[in-house]
Amino acid sequence: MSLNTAFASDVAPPRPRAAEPHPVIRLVVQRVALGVLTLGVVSVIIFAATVALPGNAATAILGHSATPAQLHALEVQLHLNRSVFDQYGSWIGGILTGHPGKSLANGMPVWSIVGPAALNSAVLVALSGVIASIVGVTLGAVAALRKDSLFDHASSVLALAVTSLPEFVVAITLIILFATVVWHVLPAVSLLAPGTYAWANPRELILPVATLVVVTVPYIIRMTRAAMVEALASDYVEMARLKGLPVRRVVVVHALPNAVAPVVQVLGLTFLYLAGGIVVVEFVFAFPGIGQSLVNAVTNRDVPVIQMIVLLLAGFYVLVNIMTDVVALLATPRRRLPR
Amino acid sequence: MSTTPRPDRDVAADAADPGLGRRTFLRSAVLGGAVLAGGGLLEACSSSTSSSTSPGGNGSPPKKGGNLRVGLTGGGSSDTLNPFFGGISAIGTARAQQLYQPLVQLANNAQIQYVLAEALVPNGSTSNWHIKLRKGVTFHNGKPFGADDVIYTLRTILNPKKPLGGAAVLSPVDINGLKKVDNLTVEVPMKTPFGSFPAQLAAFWYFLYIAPDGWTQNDAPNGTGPFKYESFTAGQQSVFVRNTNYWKAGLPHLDSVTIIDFQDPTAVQNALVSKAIDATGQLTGTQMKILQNTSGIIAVPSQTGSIEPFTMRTDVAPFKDVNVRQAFRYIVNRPEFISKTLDGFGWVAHDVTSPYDPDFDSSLHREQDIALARSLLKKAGFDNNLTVTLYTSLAVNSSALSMATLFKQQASAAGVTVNLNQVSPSSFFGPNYYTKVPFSQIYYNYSPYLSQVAQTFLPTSPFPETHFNDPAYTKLYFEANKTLSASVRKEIIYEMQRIDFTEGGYIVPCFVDSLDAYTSNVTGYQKGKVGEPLGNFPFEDFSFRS
Repeated sequence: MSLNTAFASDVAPPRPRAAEPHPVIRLVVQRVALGVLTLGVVSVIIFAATVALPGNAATAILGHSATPAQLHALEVQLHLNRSVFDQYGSWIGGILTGHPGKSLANGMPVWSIVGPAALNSAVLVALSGVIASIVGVTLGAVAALRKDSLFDHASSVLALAVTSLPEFVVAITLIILFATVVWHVLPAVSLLAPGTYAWANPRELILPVATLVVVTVPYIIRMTRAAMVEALASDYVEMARLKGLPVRRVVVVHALPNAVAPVVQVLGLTFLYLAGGIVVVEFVFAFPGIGQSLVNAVTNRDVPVIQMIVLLLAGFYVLVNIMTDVVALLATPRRRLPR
Repeated sequence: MSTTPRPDRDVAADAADPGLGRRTFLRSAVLGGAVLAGGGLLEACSSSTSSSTSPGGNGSPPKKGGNLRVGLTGGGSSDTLNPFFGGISAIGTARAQQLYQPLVQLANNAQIQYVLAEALVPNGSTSNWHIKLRKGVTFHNGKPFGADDVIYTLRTILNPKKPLGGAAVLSPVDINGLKKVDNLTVEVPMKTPFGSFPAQLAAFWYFLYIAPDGWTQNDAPNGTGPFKYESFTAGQQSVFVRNTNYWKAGLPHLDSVTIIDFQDPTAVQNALVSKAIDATGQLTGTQMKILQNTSGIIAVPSQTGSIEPFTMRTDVAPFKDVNVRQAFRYIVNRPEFISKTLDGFGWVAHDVTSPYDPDFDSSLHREQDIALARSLLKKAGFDNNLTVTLYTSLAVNSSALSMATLFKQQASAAGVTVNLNQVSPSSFFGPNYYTKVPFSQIYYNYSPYLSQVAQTFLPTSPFPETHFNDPAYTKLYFEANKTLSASVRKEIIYEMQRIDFTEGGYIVPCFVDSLDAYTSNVTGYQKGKVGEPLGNFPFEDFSFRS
């Protein structure tokens, strides 16, 4: 970035044409429209995938006890004998009118299964994401400010080492350390009684959140450090330093705002990663969230529940992508200008 | 450290265990004392069950109260508390055993035990039975238990329009002739003589839980069991509270039982070690060895009659040829199956099922003989050129894949190429695998012999993996059902087992142990020979140490 562009916003820009909406609004409208289209495509793909899977809800429910007559009766009862297009049509019609239908596995309304699980997972993702963001951005900024110090090198090496560990290794290590072998201080599993929510059981949240934080923080540190190092090496920061501004003002006013855009992208990616990463963590800790529900639904070939969960996750992806783009756009004045 | 030593497998140990030894039962059966027409030893289940004496040995009565938390895998969102589907999975059985009760069941020693029935009395030709029911039993909602409930349950299971699991096995029962003699007596006429009626009732858990007359699946769970329904979330957990009107005086000891679903076996183990649960079952051999060395945990292997056979379809090539079937049986190195696939937690079987049946012929033995296997294969026209596909699946059991792999290895010594096809658990029991493919695997808990036969080896069996259809064998089954003479029946069953041994479609390399563990604070646990985890979940006998 050059000095010129840094001051570009102060130079009177060409006035946008009156009919043109604000660039941020235009972006949001565009992205939402594309997002809805994406969700539609996702729903078709997931439906096709679950239909292509061998077995169906009836065989999954009856298991070893299945006799052909019982199988047929259950298939009729679950409407599995209708055509694929029929099944998809009635499902999508239900979603559009706010009736996501009933679970094939137990006849409960889909939302009563997915809703509480989604809330529990949301708590897990939000807590982990916020903690990881604060810790990661702080450590990354400090590492950048003390570039080539012992702290910088140590944190880089450690971050690289931890990044290469899969979640379940981290999870099992934490369990061994804090729950089963070394110390017996935290619960090894997050058993929540049905009807109670994750926030009511903070102790049960510690190890799953810690696992997700440990897994995601290194990436945030590395990316924040890189963005900050770049900003600190820029001409405008050098100019600010040459003007004799105090270090704090140089960092907070001049360097940080220019590092925000890439960091926000990284944080967005982190949240997206968390939304997928919870499946493994929920499995290991027996945490009753959306990941566990999804595994359960796939095992049971419970198509309406699979669809609902995947739609929720896809919706979350779309939403986070739009939000990070908007924030990045707001943080980069240059990009708001019409080209 | 408080581990329980593994039971020895030899006869001496069995003989030294007079209460539960297989030998003892065989002997007592031969002596003929308690054998009833059903081919089983019916033990009265007195109201002061024995079992609950304090294992601590200090003679003090078990402590009252507490909530037992039991963790198990295998549950899912399609689980139900419907008594007619109670025993589909181990965790389903765990729940059903608290809420509901059958007329008879297999006790921990694998013999038939009265529960809601007090006697099953056949006429001379076993074509008509009287079920005498226990007095003073009430359902959880206060309704007295009686003949109407038994008739309703049998009619629901055997409804010709919508037969439930078990209908095929109970098919001789003439539902139109069911008659209430009085409040506590039901007359059950049979279309054909049915001497194995008690054994068939006892073998499969899920079709014999007694539901109250008129119960439908929209009604709240209502049984006669030691615990009452409090809450149930499919795939997550269920809570049952003490039935204060339970017909066994002084039981249960616990205030409540919480059964918790797990998806990951390692999570169950961690939960037990960190005391988030009090007891579990279905462990693998590796887990067992770790838990046996964990302080505060008691890990117990129980010798059972459960089988995990390879199933050969006797009606299609290459297994249509009995030489191929026998060759495959001689390929198997049985001790190696136990050491390599079960971590030592099993005992040798010889292709015949039901080792605790009083009529089990323990003289049938077979050892690996590759030379003989090769010559049998040659007789069938194969010389180093037989290739078969073995369909395996984790739906069968957690050890199914390692068993399949080991068989593949052992078969290569006899010049047989085995290709493994792993089928996803949710489709294995679907229409294209299991009983359809020529060579596969399956798992059964212990059943008395005639009920195992009714489930699997007859043309009318509901689970015909082997499609075995030998008219002489089928005829013997019906003859065994006709007789009331223990010695005649034994002779017939010995002959049937000889046919199994020389022509059958099962390869049974070993009987599989049941591996349980609980925290040292829990008392009342008993080993079970049937194969259900935790001795078939008799939580009414469990309590906590003070």
